Amino acid sequence: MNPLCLVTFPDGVRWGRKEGLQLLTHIQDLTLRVTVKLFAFFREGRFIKEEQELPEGTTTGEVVDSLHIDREEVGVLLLNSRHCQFDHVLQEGDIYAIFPVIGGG
Amino acid sequence: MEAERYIRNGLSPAEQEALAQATVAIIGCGGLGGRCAELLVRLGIGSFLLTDPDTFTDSNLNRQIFCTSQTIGLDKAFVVADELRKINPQVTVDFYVQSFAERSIENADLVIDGLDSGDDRVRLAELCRKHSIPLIHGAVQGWYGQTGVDQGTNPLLNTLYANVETDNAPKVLPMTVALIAALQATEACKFLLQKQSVLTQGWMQCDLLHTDFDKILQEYP
Repeated sequence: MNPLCLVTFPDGVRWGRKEGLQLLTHIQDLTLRVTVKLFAFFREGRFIKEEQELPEGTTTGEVVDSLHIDREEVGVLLLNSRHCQFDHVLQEGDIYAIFPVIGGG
Repeated sequence: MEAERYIRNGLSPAEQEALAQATVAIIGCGGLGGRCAELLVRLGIGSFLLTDPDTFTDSNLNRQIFCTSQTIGLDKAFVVADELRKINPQVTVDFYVQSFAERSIENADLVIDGLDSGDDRVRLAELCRKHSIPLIHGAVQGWYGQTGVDQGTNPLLNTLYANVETDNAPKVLPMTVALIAALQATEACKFLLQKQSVLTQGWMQCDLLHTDFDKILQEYP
């Protein structure tokens, strides 16, 4: 599947997938709602908890990228309280939590 | 003085005796380790094993309780041992000015994580697992901190620090250090008094900026 990117739809800029210049996915028809929870300093300039409408096929890693979080800063990803990797495909109603590495002592 | 020393703890004589008989290893005697040591000696822990290879520097002054203008340049483990003996001259303290090794923990009832790197924490957890000693984890960054108990059956440190590099000089506020150290000392006290803790099933995430505290509980196989 092509990577997720921002595309201009008639009703505004939304997430979609493109191949070259051709729009492949009309996301109005193919969205899912996911609750994204951020922890510690990932909250700064972002949010604590947000309902996101995402195109079908969105992966856990693509959400991290869309939030401009460096994957190397991520310590733990929990999907519905279970550990997951960056390549997990999100489902309708998922609760997705992203934790940074906290290293100081 | 000795009869009065622990009277305000409000613990039973048997509980106070259990603490007096306990040996706690503190690995890293800086922010978390130093503060935790201070709380635990006041609580009534009888014996300490302190390990830290470093000396106090100016950048420790913002958060490390035993770092003062008089102790800059001195070995952290030596200074903390000295301060614990000032608080209670009866306490037994052994200290090692070196990176942690077998002797840092092998005679301990539990281990306090006062380290500042993910790699070292995973190595410490493996050493604790080898000796079947529980490890009370703490870590801090800015306004945020986390704590949990790795008992060997729940690989907490491997969960939190899998495949990651950590910043060796993160920004750390003194309030966050005091809070997380207090939570670590609390978990130590509960373990030694054989009280249950949910933090053996996961970890606690503390956000002082938003006054938000979350328990992240896991099911371990």
